[in-house]
Amino acid sequence: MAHDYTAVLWSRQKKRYDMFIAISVVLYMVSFIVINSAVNPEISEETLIIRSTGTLAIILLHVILLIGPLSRLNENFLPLLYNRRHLGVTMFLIATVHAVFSTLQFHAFGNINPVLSIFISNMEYGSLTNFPFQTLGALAWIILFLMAATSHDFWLKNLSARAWKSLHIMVYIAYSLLVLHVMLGVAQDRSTIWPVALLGAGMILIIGVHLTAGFKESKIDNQNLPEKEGFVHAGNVDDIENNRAKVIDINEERVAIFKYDGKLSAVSNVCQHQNGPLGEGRVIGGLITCPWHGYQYKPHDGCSPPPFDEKVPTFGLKLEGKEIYVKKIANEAGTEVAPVTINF
Amino acid sequence: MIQSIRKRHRLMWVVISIALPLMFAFALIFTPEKKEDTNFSSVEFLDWKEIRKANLEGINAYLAEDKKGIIKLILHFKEPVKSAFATVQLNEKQLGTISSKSSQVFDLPSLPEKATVVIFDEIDKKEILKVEL
Repeated sequence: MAHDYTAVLWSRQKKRYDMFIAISVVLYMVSFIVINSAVNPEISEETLIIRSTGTLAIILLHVILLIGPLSRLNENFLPLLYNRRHLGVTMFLIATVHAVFSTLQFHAFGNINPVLSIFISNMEYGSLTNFPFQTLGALAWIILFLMAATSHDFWLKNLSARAWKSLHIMVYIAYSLLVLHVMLGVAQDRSTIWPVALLGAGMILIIGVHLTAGFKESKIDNQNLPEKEGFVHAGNVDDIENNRAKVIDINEERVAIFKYDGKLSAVSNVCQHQNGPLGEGRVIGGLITCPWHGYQYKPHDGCSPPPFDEKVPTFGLKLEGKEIYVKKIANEAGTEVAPVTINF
Repeated sequence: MIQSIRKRHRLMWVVISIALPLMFAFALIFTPEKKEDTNFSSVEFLDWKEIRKANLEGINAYLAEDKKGIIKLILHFKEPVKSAFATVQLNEKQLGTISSKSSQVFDLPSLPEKATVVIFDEIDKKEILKVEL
């Protein structure tokens, strides 16, 4: 929630998270190099670096892609989501080392520009055994570069959350390209089955958790809520825990109805930072707090507290007995709506 | 997420969850097993008659005669030749260039009494390997 440009807003949790990432990366690299050197003493240093960084990058990408859906399925994973960008940039840097060493090893000794050589040295796109799998890796790297280069909130703010999110969901295309890059690369030298087996297991896991989280999400979209005089029936007030929200779908946009301090307020479910799900957050210190990165909004007007200037649309509410009704039409972002008091 | 991004996200995962496992399985099933040629130690499997051979650390070299009586020089590289442009020379005469294949065969006009095979790096202008047959 940076008001001014700051490279990284460090916190104790972020420092611990980054330290854990750094130690894990070093441990993996050292273990990989030591074990592979012992098993195969003839292996060159360049090959060891290419393989250790390649395997580490694909493992980290799997971890990164698991964090999102796991956080939707179980909020215990939310702390991992908070700093996922650091993990993403780390993965990109490791993938870059892999790409640079691979380019130097396999494309730097000819009379063609090494980068051009990646794309034109092998044109056997019709062959499975000799498919130019390096092209797939290069295309994935370009996507990852764009993501890493725009990962800072500076770009999020300048591009808009919508454009930024559109760019960053291209990670799924990068993932697909990388699965095929590894698969077709390994397929060209199938001396062992375990890399293919691990990659297949990882792919099934990633697809499985994403579909499970998507199925859970689609239940919200498929609610057919009854309407009455411009209001939508959102359910019973007792269904909502204190300081938590219920999320409903109105006109294909989501609305989060928060219950706090004996009151109810409804705001758009979409955080202005990264479009995170506000309705999966809590009311902390009287403020709606996004579960992804802690951006905060006042429940009654959808405005961030000073000095911040983010705003989300608000919705009118009424209570009939214990039944909640939400206005179908959203107010402009930042419009104050008096909270509904729960009188029982 | 807003509705349009949510829909795009969902569409992407529907496509990925169908297409990616299919492509993965396709690659797994239809990639032919790579021929294991590290045990290539004779020319018998070609039904050729082996005349002379030399086994060095990085290369196995053979002189053989096929059924039509044509003399062949067969080179089997045990490890990649670390040169972007290398040629094969027999008794100081160039036979051809090294390709990406681990085994290469050259036709010879006749059986040389003594064969000195040199793998020559044409960029650095130096010998990479030398075999006497």
